[in-house]
Amino acid sequence: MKEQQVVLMLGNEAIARGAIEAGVQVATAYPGTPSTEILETLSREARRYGMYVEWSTNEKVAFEVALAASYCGLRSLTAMKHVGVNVASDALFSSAYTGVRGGLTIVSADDPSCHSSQNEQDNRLYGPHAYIPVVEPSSPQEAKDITVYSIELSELHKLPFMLRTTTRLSHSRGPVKLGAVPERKRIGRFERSPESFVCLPVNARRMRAKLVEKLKSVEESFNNSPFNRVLGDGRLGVIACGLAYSYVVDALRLLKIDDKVSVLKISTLHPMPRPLLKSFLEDKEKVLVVEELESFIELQVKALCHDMGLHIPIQGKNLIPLVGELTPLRVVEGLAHFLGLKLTLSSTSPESLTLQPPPRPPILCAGCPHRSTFYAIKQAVKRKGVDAIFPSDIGCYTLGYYPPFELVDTTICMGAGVGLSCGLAKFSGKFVIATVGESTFLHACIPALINAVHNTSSFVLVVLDNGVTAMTGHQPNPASGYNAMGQRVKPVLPEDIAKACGVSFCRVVDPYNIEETVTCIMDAIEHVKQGLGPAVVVARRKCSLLLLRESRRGEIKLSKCVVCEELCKGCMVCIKTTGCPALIPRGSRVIIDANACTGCGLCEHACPYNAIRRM
Amino acid sequence: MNVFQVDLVISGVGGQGVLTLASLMGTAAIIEGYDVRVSEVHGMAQRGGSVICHVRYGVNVNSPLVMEGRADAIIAMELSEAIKAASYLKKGGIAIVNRLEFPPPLSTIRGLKYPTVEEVAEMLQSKASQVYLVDAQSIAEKVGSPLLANVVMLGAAWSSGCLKLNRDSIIQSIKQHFKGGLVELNVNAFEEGIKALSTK
Repeated sequence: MKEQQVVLMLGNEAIARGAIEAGVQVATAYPGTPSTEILETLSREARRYGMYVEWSTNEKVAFEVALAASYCGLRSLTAMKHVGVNVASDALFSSAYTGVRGGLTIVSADDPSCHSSQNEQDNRLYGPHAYIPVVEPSSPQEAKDITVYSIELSELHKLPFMLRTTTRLSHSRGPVKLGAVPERKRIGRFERSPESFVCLPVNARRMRAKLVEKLKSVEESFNNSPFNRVLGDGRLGVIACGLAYSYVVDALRLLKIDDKVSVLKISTLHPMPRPLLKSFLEDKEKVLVVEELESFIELQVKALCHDMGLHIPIQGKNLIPLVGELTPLRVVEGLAHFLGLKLTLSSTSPESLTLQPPPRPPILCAGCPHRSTFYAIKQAVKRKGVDAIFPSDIGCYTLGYYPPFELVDTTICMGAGVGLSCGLAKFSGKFVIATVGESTFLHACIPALINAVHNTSSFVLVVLDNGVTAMTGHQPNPASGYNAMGQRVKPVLPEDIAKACGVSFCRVVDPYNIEETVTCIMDAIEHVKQGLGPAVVVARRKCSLLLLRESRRGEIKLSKCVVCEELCKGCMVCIKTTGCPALIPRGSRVIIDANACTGCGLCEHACPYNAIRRM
Repeated sequence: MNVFQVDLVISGVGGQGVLTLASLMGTAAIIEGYDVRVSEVHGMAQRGGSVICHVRYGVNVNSPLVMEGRADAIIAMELSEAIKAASYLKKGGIAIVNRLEFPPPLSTIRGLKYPTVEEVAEMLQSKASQVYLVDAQSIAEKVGSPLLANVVMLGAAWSSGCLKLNRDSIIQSIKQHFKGGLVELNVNAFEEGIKALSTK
């Protein structure tokens, strides 16, 4: 890819390109939708640009590694999903106090509408809370340009910057014109300065006063930002940020009123450049703020109007939905209401269609080893006759929530399943069987497992180990045995960790051996029942998507399951007990999609008529 | 003033190559010098769930999402997923549907109804000026792999006239996306998709 070339880029790829153009030398992340492709892109390009890239154990570590690089004078970037910032936040708050040396940008990829998340928190609010500047792009091109801008300003003002993106921007493609990549590399050097880096109370008090001053100078920079601009000169005002701005521009054109309305597009969200806002507000009759999620800008504009003694109506969340992501239709409706226009669009909401599509939630893939593990847990619970509950966690296996398994009773945040199990084992009156993937286990479960041993909480923990962080697209984790730079490294295995935590029952099974897995889980249940402390079962088998890819490349040969037509009674028990998408009903029989089947043999185990064979 | 703009919505099931299909269109539009937005679905939703992708290109495009009731055409990679895209279709638009029937396992477990081809076609005809049903799966298998069904649908879409892109731009886009022997396979799939519609 060359300078000046125009490339169709994903928002996240554009952020990665921005990091390269900004001379970022260290990039870190823990994978999480919708942020993952940023580091994935950088990990592919790392060698070419002499960059150090790592998938860290969790977001806090990712942030700390990037912060360390910045302390050493290197430009760095760390990317995470919105809830990942919660994990990193302890370090984030203090990093504002110490400030940075090399430019440091933390990318927060928010997820309005919870496409792939447990909540829709608005991370712009970290700006005022943690005293860090926040910027937000509104197109893939700007995603690249604002990444460069944030790194440069971060270094100028010696503060970490947050770049906020959302799912729709991170995962939408647009043309991006490439810029130059700097040739010169810096050498990292840590110069000791304890009074700058040690947040002892004596230093922290001084740091806070300095921090407040720093933010004032950031506001001055933001007031001249090339990424804020005013379109049109009507006396009706609209203020928008992020993708909401793109919806506003299209909506005004659609409503044919783009000449009557003046739009302030704002990309610097904290601290808000007040002089710029003031000059925009001065001659307005009324203003609508269009923003995704919270009324972040709206409240600041209202406060500013109060200070200016300006009595104009400021509208926002009364017309623009608070819940769920914005869409072109939602913005058109809000704008039409604000302008007193009647909508005559021939739109059809999904409800008004006569035909209803069958629900198709995401499911475990064909041959997924987690399916076999859930199946075995169900069998073991039945055979042991225990009254069990099933805390779980965040990953592909959260899909065990859906029928036919329904073995996910809680999902809160990364690692919460084990912490909750410590409490549930004591207070629920039920037997507790928790599930967690190996990546989440290593991310956030280790202190909780130590707690279980130390405070004598007894439960079965099944670690579903498929060797990669699968849900986000197969990134390596410490159990994988290789890293983001493609180096072979010593794997950190969940069973070794469990043993080191003091767990006396630690066994590893292959979930494709169904009977062996059932027996192992039954043994674990017995261990816990006898009061011998928590038991850990590691169900290890490579992700079936990887198995399929290897087989398509001819690297391995997979056996396939086939249905014997004469024996199949069409009872659908195979589908009803496994939910495997390779099993397809055809008339009164079942056929198996050979392209999807990995030959795991679960349907063979489930079929009451021995009509399915592994070949 | 009417400025040139094409709004498309593509639906299907995770794993069917909906994203690749959208990306091929986006790149072809860039080749022709248009402004482009493609909205994708990543992460959890991709695991065998419904996937819906928006593609917009033209002189000045901002939003990555198509507005309900304003898509010039919808392209569905699976029969029942056409219903989800249908709310985006404008009156008089074009619908191109892969005849593939893939009932979600959940509806088999719960005993839910799966729509018939006739029901889907009838619903689409109430809005669309033209509805094309394509047997993309078997065409793809004849070309070499069922995984080529998405590019067969690309050929069918081009043939319907809804893309308003040059055939050569799409072939160039295919050449940029794939490597080695996959280029020829995908170009063949595209050409077979074109024939599938023109021979009707």
